[in-house]
Amino acid sequence: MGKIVLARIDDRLIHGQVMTAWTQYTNANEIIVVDAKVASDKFLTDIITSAVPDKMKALVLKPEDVVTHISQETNEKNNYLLLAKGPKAFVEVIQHGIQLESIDIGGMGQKGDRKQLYRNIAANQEERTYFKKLLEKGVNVYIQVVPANKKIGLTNEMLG
Amino acid sequence: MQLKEIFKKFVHIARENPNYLVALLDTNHCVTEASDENVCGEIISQDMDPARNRQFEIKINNQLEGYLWIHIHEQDNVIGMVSKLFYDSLRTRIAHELEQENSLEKLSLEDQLVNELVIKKSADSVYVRDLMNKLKLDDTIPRTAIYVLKNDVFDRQEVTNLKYRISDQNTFYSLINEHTLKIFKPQSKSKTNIDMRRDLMIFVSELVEWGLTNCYYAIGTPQYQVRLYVNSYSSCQWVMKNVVMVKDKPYFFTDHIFGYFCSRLDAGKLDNLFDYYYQKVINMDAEEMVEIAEALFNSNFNINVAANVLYLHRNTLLYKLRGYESLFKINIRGSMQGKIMFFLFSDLLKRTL
Repeated sequence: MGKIVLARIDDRLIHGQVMTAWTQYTNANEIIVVDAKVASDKFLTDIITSAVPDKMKALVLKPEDVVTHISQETNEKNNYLLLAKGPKAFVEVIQHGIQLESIDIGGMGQKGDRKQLYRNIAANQEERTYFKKLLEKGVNVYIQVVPANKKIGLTNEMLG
Repeated sequence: MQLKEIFKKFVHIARENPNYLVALLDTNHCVTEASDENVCGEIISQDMDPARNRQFEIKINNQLEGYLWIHIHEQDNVIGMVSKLFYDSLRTRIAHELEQENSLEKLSLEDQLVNELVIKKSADSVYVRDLMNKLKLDDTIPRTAIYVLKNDVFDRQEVTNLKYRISDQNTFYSLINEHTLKIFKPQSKSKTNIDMRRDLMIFVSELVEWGLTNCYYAIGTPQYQVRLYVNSYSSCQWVMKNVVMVKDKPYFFTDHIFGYFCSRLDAGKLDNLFDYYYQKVINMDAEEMVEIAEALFNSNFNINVAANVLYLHRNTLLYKLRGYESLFKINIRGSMQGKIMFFLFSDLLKRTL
């Protein structure tokens, strides 16, 4: 069934930084974008996954489908990189039976009703509530934009 | 980079949605590739109706290579979002390909450097300095060679990707052959031997965690001078040949220096010196004695640890040692000279068994 080498929150999902740094750094060979809305639109899914070269696998799944997909994989050498736009998707992934030990916050820009969390990482009230749920479940949530950055652990104090 | 090759995937996607047309334009806005081949060769104005057309610059290494043109036949309200997604995906693919090219270029230089340092009989110091400058490698810091041997074949793409895992700019490596990866890892001048050793152990465990599994790891001697890196490499080779190793664990040459020195002794010249003792072991289990000597050496002459390794009771091991002491008239347990004598004799015996 392979292993999840990184679960990352990133507004931009698959972009240059993810492809040029994180996939290599983690040795991921399959990218799973966890997004219920995009997963139900084949055209958008195709465009998003076209950013990934053919030698890597990329797909977009609803949170509830991640566990089925990973558990059905027979190749134990599969290294999954999970990407989501926010913490809600990962809370749902966990609720459906996937054990996530840690989650990296890589990109949550200042937009809409989001307020600063740490430097250029921001979250709105709903996202903060989901982050608290992740912390309650014992998930190590940290901020790390690129591999060279030090991991900054997310705490309840930071969430307010 | 083959921009047209990358673009073909996008063409394929657009063809599945008949409302969209995507095209690659050259710097003169002439269509070179498109999901609708009929438009190839047409010049596309930048001033077309924005409600149905979007154009984005495609730059590679800051140089304009052309444009991405997105056109919709029937107006919809998502052209902005969809065309931006197309553009972002194309840019990501280009960035990835560029990065891969850069990595391969860098690895090619590192291959040349490793070849010059450890494979060739004598390194060209000017060429080595030039390569190190190009790779921005500091030649004043000590480095340790790490020899990684895999019985299966290394995946070349995985080795390229390793560039990103090893974030230290002063580490360089080369896939010497499909089974052997040679890494030169820098060490901090200010660190103690214990700290250096811990760093190397962490480094190896990170490589294993990353995916370089089912490999044997030999760690050579730290070296300050670039011209001596070859010796660090040789010490790794010695470990590979002479130490019983378990996969995915680091084995340090410095843990086997005594064994190394013993292996350098000229058995032919020493043989006759020990004839008196050879006669004494004729009727005993010499192989067992060699195993006991090695277990004692590897456990720093700790009786309990050696007994565990040998699957013997502590008292049984002590009984056997007393037997050897009596036979050879040496004090193995209480004297340094006796320990050395016992190990050297066992080592010579091992080579003649």
